[in-house]
Amino acid sequence: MASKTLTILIIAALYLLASLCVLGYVLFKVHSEGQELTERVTLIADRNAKIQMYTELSRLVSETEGERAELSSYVLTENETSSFLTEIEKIGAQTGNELSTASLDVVEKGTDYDELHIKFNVEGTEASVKEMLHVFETLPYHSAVTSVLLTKESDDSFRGVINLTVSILSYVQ
Amino acid sequence: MFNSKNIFGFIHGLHPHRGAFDNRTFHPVREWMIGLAIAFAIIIGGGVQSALMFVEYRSISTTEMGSVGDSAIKYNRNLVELSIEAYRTKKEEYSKYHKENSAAVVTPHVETPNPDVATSSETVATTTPSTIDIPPAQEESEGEDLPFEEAVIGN
Repeated sequence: MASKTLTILIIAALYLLASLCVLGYVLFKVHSEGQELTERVTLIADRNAKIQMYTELSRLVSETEGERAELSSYVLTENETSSFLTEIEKIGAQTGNELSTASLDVVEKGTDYDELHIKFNVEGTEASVKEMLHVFETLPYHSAVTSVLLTKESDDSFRGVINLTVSILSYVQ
Repeated sequence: MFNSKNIFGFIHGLHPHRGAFDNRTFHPVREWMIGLAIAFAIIIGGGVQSALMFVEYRSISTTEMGSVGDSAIKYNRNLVELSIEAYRTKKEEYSKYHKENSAAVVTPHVETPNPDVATSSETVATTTPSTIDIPPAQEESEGEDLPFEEAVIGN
């Protein structure tokens, strides 16, 4: 093998090796850049999604303002509790019953809403008590008559205890 | 004289045991073919790899990859409407009862109406809930004229 041929062979081999190295580096570079592009696109996409969610949430808030205000009007607040009790006792009087508040107990539920457990002592006729209970069930609040215990005192007179549970906005907000 | 047998014998003596692919001798065409084959292999390999990368990154989109997970607030509109409808029904029933009951109580006072007093009592009742503390006789005549939500919620 002539020396010139050997030189050409070595140069060709080196050239081939260099070409392969360049090709490998380029492919590696393209791949790493692609990975970085993917990460950045993901970040941008997440940001766009958050912006879209915020926009939709803002629209939802504005659209449902009336509904939420109406719904919240059906839940008692701390300030309305005394008015509510007065109203309840007034209902008792209007229906011909003697109604008095025996106890009040706020049960914290650990959510935005607590429960106000009210115990009433009631005395009246069967019809008047039933009417009063019917009115209690139509109270436009998130409330429920949880228990009624009536004892017949005489033919027309009943005495008993009514437990009413009302949801109220949490005292600790 | 060389005859055909002698010529082949002579050639065979010059190149003993060497076939068509003699590794000890350069064949320019063969070496070029090998070089070109390697070059084509590199080109095709690079092209395939480039095509795969193109396919991989072509589908990247900023709209499809984003997700906000569970942080999105779900608003059940149907449930809200049902709830509102249920409470409206209760409120109407209660208001109906309240008006009927109020009318029965208020009727005796119609004979001696006093517009000034009535107007002032309404104003007080709609702005503050302090009407609750008014003595029972006065409270009955004033509070009965008010809609339920003003009498109870007004704060």
